[in-house]
Amino acid sequence: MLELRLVQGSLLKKVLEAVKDLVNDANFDCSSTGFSLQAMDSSHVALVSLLLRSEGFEHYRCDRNISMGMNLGNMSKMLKCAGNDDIITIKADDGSDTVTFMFESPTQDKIADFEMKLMDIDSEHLGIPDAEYHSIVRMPSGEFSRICKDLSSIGDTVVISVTKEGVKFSTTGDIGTANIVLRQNTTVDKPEDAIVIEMNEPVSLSFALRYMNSFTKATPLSETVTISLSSELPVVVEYKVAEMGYIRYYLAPKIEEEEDTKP
Amino acid sequence: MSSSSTVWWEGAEKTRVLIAPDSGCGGNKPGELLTLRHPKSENGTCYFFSNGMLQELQWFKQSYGSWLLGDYISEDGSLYMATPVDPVFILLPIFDEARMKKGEDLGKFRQLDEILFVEGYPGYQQLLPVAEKCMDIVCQTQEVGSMKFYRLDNSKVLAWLSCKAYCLRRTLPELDKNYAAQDEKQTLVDAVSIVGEYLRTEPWLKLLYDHLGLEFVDPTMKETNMENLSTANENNTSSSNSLQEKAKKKPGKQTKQAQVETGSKNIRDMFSRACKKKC
Repeated sequence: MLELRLVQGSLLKKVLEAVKDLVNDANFDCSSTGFSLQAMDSSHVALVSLLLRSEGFEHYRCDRNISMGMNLGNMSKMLKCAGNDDIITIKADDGSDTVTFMFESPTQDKIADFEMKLMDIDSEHLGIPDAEYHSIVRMPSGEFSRICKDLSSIGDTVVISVTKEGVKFSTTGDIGTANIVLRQNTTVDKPEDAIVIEMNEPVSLSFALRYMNSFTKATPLSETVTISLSSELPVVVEYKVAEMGYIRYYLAPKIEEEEDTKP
Repeated sequence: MSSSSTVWWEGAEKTRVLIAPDSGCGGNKPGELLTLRHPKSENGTCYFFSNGMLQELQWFKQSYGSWLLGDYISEDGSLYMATPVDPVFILLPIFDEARMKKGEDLGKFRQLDEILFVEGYPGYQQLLPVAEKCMDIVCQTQEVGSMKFYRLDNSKVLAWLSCKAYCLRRTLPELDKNYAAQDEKQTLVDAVSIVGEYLRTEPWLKLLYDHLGLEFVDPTMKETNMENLSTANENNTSSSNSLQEKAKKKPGKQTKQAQVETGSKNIRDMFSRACKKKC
């Protein structure tokens, strides 16, 4: 028997918006730790890892570890029917092949329930090593989203370089090139507006912008985004979810070519 | 290219690879390159003339590459493609100038060899047989004895241009289902814009828009409008887009989604390698 009651239902709504374009079908895993998901996109270039800790739910009952296979597009359609202030409860009975989403209005005068068929999804969980990243950048999520959108009007690939000067986002395209440099800035009115750059080693990597633009769909979840880079590892783009967890996007860099192709 | 019959011109310094239609007369004159004025930009442009068929050239070049041709290496790795072009487009500006039309005065009838004498561009004279065959369709003609005189006629030009646009409007949906999904008026606008790549904006393209009852859209402006359209549509959560806007957005968006990411590493491989190192 599974019953998870989340008072701030809007968090779950935003979470689905943040993943449904990247991944079509995935398993939601429930255990005593929390409600999580790990899935690669169809091209196996990106991976999303989501965790909502059990402590963040008003009521968390999970009798045994279960995996529920869901079509994220369909789940998103159902969650769109919840009001932003609604309390959302996820329910599933043992042995049942459906999951129920219940939406209660804050004033308790409206209750809606949506039942969805579960899928059988074979998923492999990738081991994500704990690593010391060469560089970690924390910045306002809106700024990062704006940078990715602006650069993708110029090129398809972004080079992210961290040096002691700061972090640089560059791209090249048919019409020209673009470079955006951000310097560390901690003297701001609000801590969320700060740009914090922790550079243990300089690093420079290239990524396909279309994935970054997919990741920035999580911007409504958090004021800040943390980008961790290391030469031999996928980049991690992390958005914290209120006080209860995170969405981490992992993206493999572009293959380095021997020759520089721009004439 | 058949590898069994590669014949090289001795003493040729540089080779290029050109793909052109088979003119069917096998082994005849190989055709020649003519420099003519591009009908839109008026810049000197290279055309390929072979067995009575005039062709325009497209040039594709990667930054590093060469051709291996049989036992021979051609340093220039570009690919040239020749495709047939309707000579009326190419000759239209020449005939327009030749008639010397001023305002209401319709201009002069002239003979082909005079019309095709263009200062700095001797290539046009090679096109005499072609002009004889095809320019009747857009000209008034008068015959005096054995001499034939031509004068470009605007109403015939517009009728011919409209025909081109309508033909394209009929053909485009057959080529691509995204065109098939959009409404006819939009397809006509697209067809005119394609025809417009071979026409000077003044007077012909504007006259054509007028003739067909369409609003003239500056092609250079059109691109930015489409970009604004698609970003506006992305931000717009309401689903009340007009069919036209949706159809305009579709061709571009669909190709973007269909692109398979080939340049990035595989994330599963990266993690298994990383784990192996650590564990």
